[in-house]
Amino acid sequence: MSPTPPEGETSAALPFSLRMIALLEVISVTMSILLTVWAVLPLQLNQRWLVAGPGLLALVLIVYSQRVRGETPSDLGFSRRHFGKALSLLLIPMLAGAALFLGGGYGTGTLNIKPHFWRSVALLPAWGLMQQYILQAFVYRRFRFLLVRPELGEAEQRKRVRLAILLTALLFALIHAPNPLLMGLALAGGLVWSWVYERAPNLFALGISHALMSAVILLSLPPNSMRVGFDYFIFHGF
Amino acid sequence: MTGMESKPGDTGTGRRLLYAIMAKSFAEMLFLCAAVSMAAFAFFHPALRGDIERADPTWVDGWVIDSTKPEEQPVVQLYVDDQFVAAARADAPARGESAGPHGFHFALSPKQFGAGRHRAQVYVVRKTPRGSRTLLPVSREKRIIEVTE
Repeated sequence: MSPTPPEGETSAALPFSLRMIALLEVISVTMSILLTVWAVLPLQLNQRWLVAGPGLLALVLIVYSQRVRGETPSDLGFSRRHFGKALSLLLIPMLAGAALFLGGGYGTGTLNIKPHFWRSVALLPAWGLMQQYILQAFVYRRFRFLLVRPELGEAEQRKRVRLAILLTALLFALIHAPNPLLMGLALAGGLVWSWVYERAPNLFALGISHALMSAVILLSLPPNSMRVGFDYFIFHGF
Repeated sequence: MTGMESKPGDTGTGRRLLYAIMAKSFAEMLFLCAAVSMAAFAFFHPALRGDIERADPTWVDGWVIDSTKPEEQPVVQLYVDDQFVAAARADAPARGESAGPHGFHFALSPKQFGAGRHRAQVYVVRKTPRGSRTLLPVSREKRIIEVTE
């Protein structure tokens, strides 16, 4: 009987290790998002539901990958475990961020209820949870799997966990290109959320945090500040 | 954090994931091809047929037909030297390939333009997605109108 190849090692039959495949999965999902905001949305299709095509394919890949890799909903953060701890870790960054935005919006005169605000707010909990599910339960976990190996020393592992957090936040910022303000906010938010997920993996708490911070940003920033991809150029010029 | 790190890797898992990534990429390419084709059809409408049959200092005539909706008579606009001149509905009797009420006739006065060579093009006005409109040229090439003193 041949021995099972060690985790992450390249087998003779497969040109990629599981770790490399984790990277390919992240690239594939990222491409779906970029394809949507840079190629499909600008086509201005009559059939607007088609915009969801690449996203749905990405979602199918994510769910399939998690099933194949044996990740349970509880592993991913869909449970009551760590909810309180995650919220308590998020509290200070959220309060600081909210004070900064609301204060800034008040100071610049952009703090007001924009058109479609309440409709956006109604969608934000689901939208926030979905984004955190993709960002943490898929992207961060894949980056972590790629970088962190059990055989490494504790100090090296901690360093690599920090690198995985940074990579996740950078990718989250990239998806918000070319909007410089949102890229900066996404980078900061990505760092905080991934740091919290590492310590208390609970997606409900992160989804609530994402929704609340998005609502505060919608209230505080000028209209159309949340545009990304090709849309950004339409509203802010080339 | 629990989950992936506790699961032993194997070639079966890797192969299934690799196939899934390839299948998704393939499906995405097909989706993109379909979306681009639909957008091209919406904006450039390749089913539109037409021609300028005559272009001289007194008349610009021709025909245009949407082969997917032959019962419709689109609005056309005449431009000379890239300046709007007139608009009309392509509902006049036409000859040749279009044979039906798909013709357009623009009556011109030689005095409208100065002496020399002028370039004329007729455009079909088409609705495009999200309520905007676009102009599609009827003839592949602009037609030359020679005006003498």
